Amino acid sequence: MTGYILRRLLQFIPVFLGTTFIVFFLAWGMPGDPLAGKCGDRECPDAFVAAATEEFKLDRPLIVRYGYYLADLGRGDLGRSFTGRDVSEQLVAAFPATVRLALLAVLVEVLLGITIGVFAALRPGKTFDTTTMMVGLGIIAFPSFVIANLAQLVFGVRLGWFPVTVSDPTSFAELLLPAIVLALAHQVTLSRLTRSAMIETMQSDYIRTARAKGLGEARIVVVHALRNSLIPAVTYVGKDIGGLLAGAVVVEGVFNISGVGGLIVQSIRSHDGITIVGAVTVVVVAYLFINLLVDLSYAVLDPRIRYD
Amino acid sequence: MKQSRFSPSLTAMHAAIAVAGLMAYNSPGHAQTPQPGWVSVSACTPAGPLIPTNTTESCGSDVLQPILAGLVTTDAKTGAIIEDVAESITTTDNKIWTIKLRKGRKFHDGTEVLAKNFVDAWNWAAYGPNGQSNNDWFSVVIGYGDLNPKAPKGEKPPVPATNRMSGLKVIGDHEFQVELKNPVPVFKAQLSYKAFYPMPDSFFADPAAFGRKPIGAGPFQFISGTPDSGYKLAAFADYTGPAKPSIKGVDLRIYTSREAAYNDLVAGNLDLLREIPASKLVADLWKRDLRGRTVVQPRANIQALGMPYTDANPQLLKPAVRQALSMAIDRKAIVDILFNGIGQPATGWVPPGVEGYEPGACGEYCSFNPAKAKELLAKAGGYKGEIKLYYAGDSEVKSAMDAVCNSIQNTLSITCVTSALSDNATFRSFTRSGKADGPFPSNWTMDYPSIDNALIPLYSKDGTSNRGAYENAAFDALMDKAAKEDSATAIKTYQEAERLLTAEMPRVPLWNPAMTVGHSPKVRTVTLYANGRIDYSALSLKD
Amino acid sequence: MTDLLQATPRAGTEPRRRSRSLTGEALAQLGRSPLVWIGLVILAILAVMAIAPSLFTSVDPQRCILLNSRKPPAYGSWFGFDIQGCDVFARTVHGARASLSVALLATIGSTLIGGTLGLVAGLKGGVVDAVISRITDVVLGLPTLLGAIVILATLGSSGSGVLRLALVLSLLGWATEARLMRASVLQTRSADYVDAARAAGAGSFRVALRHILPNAVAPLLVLATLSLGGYVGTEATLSYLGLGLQPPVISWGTAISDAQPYLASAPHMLLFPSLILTITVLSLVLLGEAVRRAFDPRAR
Repeated sequence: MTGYILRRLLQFIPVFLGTTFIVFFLAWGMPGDPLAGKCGDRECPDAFVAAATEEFKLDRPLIVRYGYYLADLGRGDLGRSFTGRDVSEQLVAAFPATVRLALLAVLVEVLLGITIGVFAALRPGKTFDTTTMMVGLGIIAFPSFVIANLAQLVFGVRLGWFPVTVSDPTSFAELLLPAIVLALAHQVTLSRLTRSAMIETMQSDYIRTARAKGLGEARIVVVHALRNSLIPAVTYVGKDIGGLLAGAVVVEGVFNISGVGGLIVQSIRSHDGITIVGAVTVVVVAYLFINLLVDLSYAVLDPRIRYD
Repeated sequence: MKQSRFSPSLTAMHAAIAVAGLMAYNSPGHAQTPQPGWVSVSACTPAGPLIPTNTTESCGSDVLQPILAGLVTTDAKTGAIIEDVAESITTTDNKIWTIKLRKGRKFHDGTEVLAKNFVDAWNWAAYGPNGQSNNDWFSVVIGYGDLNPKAPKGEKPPVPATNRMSGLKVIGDHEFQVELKNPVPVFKAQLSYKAFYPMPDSFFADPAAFGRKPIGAGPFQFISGTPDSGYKLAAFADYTGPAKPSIKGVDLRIYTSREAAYNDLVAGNLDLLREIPASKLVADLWKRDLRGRTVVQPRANIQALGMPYTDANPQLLKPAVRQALSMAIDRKAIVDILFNGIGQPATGWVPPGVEGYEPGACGEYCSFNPAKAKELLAKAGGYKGEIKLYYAGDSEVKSAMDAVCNSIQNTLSITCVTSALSDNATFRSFTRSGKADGPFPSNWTMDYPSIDNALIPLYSKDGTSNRGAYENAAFDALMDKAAKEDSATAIKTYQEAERLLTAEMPRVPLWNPAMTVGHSPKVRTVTLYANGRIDYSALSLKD
Repeated sequence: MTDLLQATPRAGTEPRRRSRSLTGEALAQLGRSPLVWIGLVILAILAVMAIAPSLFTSVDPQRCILLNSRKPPAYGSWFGFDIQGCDVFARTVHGARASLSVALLATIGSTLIGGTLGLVAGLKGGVVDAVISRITDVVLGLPTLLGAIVILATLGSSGSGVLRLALVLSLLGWATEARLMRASVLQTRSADYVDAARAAGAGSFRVALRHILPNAVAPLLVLATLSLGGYVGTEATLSYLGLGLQPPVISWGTAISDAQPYLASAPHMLLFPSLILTITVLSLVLLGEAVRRAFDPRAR
């Protein structure tokens, strides 16, 4: 086990380098001149273009610039964005709101998704199962921007139950509505995955054995069946946490949360390659950690899965 | 065994819930409590450091405008140019300008605004290696070339031999002289643009620090703020200029979408929002939502359709085809229906509210006339294939451009489709590259409210935003002529030049958007400058 | 899972007969369910709509008169008019083709790529797993917007917009499928019946295909049926971000994205495309669920 974890941690190094490399080339490979449109309605003067080209080494080959980037990275410098701000400063400003939103959304998602999944699996095809599925599908059939705008209009502006937008720095209480909006769509898949796995498990021999032994139904469901059914759910939740840390672009925009999603989209739109590389690399590292935890949880949930 | 393995994860879940609950309790939503006398205003993230000579985009300009004061300013009500830091600006030949400053005007750091603060700031901004985006405003001053030596092709520009323009002379603490290469009759109006604003001595020591915490001589003082959390600007106690505010401060809140800001305004969390989203104007929704707390005012802005100047699409080079397209666009219907009648169909290339504006300069070519449009197109030999109308996918022009395309398609029976390019940078690179084979939206906001600023940068051969793309010798000759005339005659010449543009329609004027403002019940009056910015000094609150 | 212990050896000896009888039984079961028939009828209508939209409406969806902007539903224009004055019913009917094609192709693409890579990673383990899993991590972390911009720019204007978008969504969307498939395979491959099959001398390829894949594929199928609906929404979200399908292609996503800002003043423009979209997703998932259940030996 320890050996496995060590090996996984060692893999971080090539993945980290590979990510910076890929994202660097993707970010600077976007079509169009990154300096175009930097001067409002006007065209940029030559002196501005020359100075920016020099500062960001835009005239050097990409591979050379990547070399400079790595050298800076080695000194712990994530570089400087077109906006004149340090990328590290931008990340420090953007991540707290996103992390809070992600935690809250995943919490709601897990509570809703697992509960609905388990109860639906206990009586598949019956009213609860069918209703939750119908409602859930209704939700995912609507694009997130429609749900988010609707929720903001109804619960924020009209009813006044939740703040309309979020202040900066933000708090968990303010983030509740955006978190529920995010969780609503994601819990559908989670509950369907849990349900499907639970149905499978409930028909297995050892559940029958447990029943024959006279164990209580609640104990059978929670202790024996659910635990063995959680692997797809945990995998999906892991992916969701990562995805939420990458920023929920649409929901952040609607509720005016200054988070990672907005930072990445803004940087992409202004062709701010250095910021894109920094932000995306942090997100990928987060995925590496989360997926390592998820993989380790497999062994806990199903003793037959072993790492050595 | 099984149970023991399972319980840790249950416990972890409980712990997570407990922690989240705790955090939610510890930090109740600190909805910003309004301070008396302060106004919260919607703003957007500045694209760069807050240095006036390097700020050309509107988000940064919105933050800087209340902080800064220049030699002259515009009167928000009449649009007239009035002296601000300057006591007098005089010239006899439009070439040599003598500028005297008022005594006792102070920067927010307590130092007095002196002639050297202007001269140093201008030299710094014009110095090529400093790479300021407002660098080219100084090209009219003698000695600009020395600070911006031309680079041999494909090489980096050489380091300039000097960092001072010979056309600028400090005469005394409160007087300096500017010598221009050629006569510029509207130079005084140009001075209202923020490229010409003074900089305190502390700026030159550490421009980066200034960019985070700008210091000006304007009615409001920068207190705190970052591009993520917004800015707090307090009324400057030692302000002695003509624009003394009655409010105590401005709280600029950053919004990434105007829809979100609009919802905050309706819910009562925001005091002022400029540029209401078009979708809220429709059916007077905003008037109902805001119960009449709305302001509409013309602004010095024109939305036009840029035309490709290259032979990427030879058919669009024919003037008659452009005229036909222009006459096929039902501007009035678009303004009436998509903007609920707010703004006005453009009748020329100069926005209303600008000195020298003349309604109807474009004549019949900017009015909707299906029969004449078809006739012109037929005379030009028709049009084969489809028209692609390009726009930036991250802008808000989609529905208007769809409507323009549909109008052309319905009138001329040419297939017209809109095509989104991913973002503004891609869009601009593409339309500038010469590869664009179709029209594209092209917006122009006046830097200062004078007719020349709507013509020279865009249509003269060396125009800073034209760069040789469009060439018309007769037009250029009129520009040269106007430069040598006194301002009243010059305006007549500029107007003559504007009418010349109908022959080739280098751009097709569409409409002049109006500025829309919504405000909270606590705001009594809102006044806007011609460029659409809020005059915070004229803003008054109910007690 | 362990209940297959008895069933598996039989499957090994008489695979054909078993599968035939299974298929027959499954179809018979499907035919008895009214939900399946409803779903089938709706999907058949949608399929005809996608192939021959002019059977449903004679109105030209590209003919938009601004003066009709936002007119509510009325006789002859059942769904009313959108902001540009186009007939919403005609736009919705003509939008079926692009929307359904994108969703179907993207689902198939991402499920195939993700399923295959996840299967290989889960089965092979070791270096292969490490490489595939780390690539998955990186792809998960890539912003869709960045990927979409670069891929769309690289593709230029080659091929149809629908194919390009489906390719983008497949290339950026397979990672979740791969993670899920791998997890499922990890769990299945350590099951007793798989050991039994190995012990019975079945080759590793055969074990993978006949024993592990069928039992590990369930979570992937759940995700696939749900993502069919999700991809129509993704197409709309990309339009919202300015990267979606371009005119003259008509799609539900662009219709929803264009109508959303007018939710308060003209809800019908948003309602009808969304309604059709919801019905489509519902019938797809119901049908998918029924088929999966019918063919799943354990769900009987």
